[in-house]
Amino acid sequence: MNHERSNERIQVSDEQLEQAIASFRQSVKNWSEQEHAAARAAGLASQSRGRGMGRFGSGFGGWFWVSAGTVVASCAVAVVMAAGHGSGTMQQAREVERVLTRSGQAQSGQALQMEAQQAQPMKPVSAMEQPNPQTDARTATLAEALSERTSRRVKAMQAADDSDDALLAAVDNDISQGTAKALAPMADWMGDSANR
Amino acid sequence: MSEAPERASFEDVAREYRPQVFRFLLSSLRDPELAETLTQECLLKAYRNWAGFRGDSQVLTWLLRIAINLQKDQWRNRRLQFWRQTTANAVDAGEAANWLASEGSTPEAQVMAKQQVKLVWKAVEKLSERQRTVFLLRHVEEMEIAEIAEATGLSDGTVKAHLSRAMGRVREELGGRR
Repeated sequence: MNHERSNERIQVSDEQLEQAIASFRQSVKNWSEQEHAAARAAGLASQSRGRGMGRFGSGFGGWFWVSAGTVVASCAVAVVMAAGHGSGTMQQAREVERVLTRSGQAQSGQALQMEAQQAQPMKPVSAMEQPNPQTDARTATLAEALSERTSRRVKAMQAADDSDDALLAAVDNDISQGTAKALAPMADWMGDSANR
Repeated sequence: MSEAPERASFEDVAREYRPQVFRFLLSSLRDPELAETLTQECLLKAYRNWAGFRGDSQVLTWLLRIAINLQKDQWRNRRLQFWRQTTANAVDAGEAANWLASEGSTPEAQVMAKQQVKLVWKAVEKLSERQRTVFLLRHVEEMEIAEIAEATGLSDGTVKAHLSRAMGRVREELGGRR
């Protein structure tokens, strides 16, 4: 009896389904926008600490491109080196890193302001610029978590005094200890398979 | 001489579409850090292939295709242990359901909407990779069937079939059991 009863389903109307999906879409958009805003807030906090990523650019643009872009591009450089593709390819990878970093720096103050406004459907921009745990606890928490993640990512860069050569030397060291095998598939991603 | 404007143009493209690429990856992976990493990978790859982009499809469709392929690689590749570990960072369905605007609705309606979103997330979690991708492109990115077909490399009919199954799953989850 119980089993039969537990298999009985409630009919969901098309309207209810559409409403649920609309709410889902809205929540994903809000979440994504808040992640951007929180990342930007974390970037601003890093700037105020005066070292690391902040010096590269303004707010989120600088943080996002420099932290993730540099780490990823540096890994790509390391993979290329490990794969023995030669110095030409290595230079190309470095160039990619430079261009992506520059595109983050190029974001104007006005564009960043617009991004912040768009990313704050539920809260005023001022709350994001000056995080207040009482009025914006969620964003502050996210910003803190992102800040921690970011600091992990750039720790190696800071330890190496932000020098590309020193960073590459550190990555080389990782590779010599067996990381190359784990990173090798990235060489495929850097290949010409974007249109497959 | 012709390189400078081409690269400046890519910078504009990266700025314009990065949020959408990130949003798709975030909804698909539910892991902000991994979504950021793959967004960067996607833009790196797009940059390297930018000269060869013929404009046969929309730029966003092209970028999402790259993102989808990167995501597939990421799941397939058993050797990338350090990335597989990041799935442990995936946000819980209940937490992911919290991002709803509260203006203009009653507390009861908010609770109901949040519950529905949680159930949709639960259903999405159970979808196959293709079904999930198609569902998110259609209902979060609001892409047309033809655009989804182009981004995923599937035929229109296959996209519709995956979408239909995904919708059935969501409906089932929302219906629950008495």
